[in-house]
Amino acid sequence: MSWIDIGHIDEVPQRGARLVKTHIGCIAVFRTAEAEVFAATNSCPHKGGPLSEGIVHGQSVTCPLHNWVFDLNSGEAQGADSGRIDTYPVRLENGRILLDDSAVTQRSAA
Amino acid sequence: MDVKETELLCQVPTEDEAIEVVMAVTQAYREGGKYLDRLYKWLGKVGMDWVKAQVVDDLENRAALVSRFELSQSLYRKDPWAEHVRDKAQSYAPIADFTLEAAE
Repeated sequence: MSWIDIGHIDEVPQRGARLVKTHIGCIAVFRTAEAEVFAATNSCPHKGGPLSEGIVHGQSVTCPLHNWVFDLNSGEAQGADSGRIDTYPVRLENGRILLDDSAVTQRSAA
Repeated sequence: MDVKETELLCQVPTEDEAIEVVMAVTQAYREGGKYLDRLYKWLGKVGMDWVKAQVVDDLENRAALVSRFELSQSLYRKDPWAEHVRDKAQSYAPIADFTLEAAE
């Protein structure tokens, strides 16, 4: 498990997200507080909505299309919806965001 | 209802000068017209001859009117969204892109 530096924490707006493009789709890096980040797949399991454009609240994100709420710790959909999004290990070190390389080094489905 | 045909103000040799004359007349109207009066109403009150004397014949006055007009419009030319695009557009792009292959 090795970590890849993808940017400074201040490049991600608070209560917002920015995208990381990979071969198997986009990963959204969410900044839920001044020094707290989560990484999860950008695509909602319901109809593929862009989670990076969703409302970030507490440690959850709401999909902008149909209001599915996902807990960013487990990736599980909250409330009456059932589904989950993949979450990836991410950490902060000296203000730099480090993403685990398992998210990035997968090949696209051939 | 007033139906009027167009009245010639003046003829000028270049397009830029035509724009200048329009700006000067607009500024004279903005300064002199009564609130809610259309341009033709103001023109009827001041008279075409007066407008010609102010804008067509008196070049110094025309320049002064144009500069006052430009000053008034300068405040409306600020575009906060365009400035946001110019300064912050990069911050909406992906923070990292792992799909790029190194050139062999």
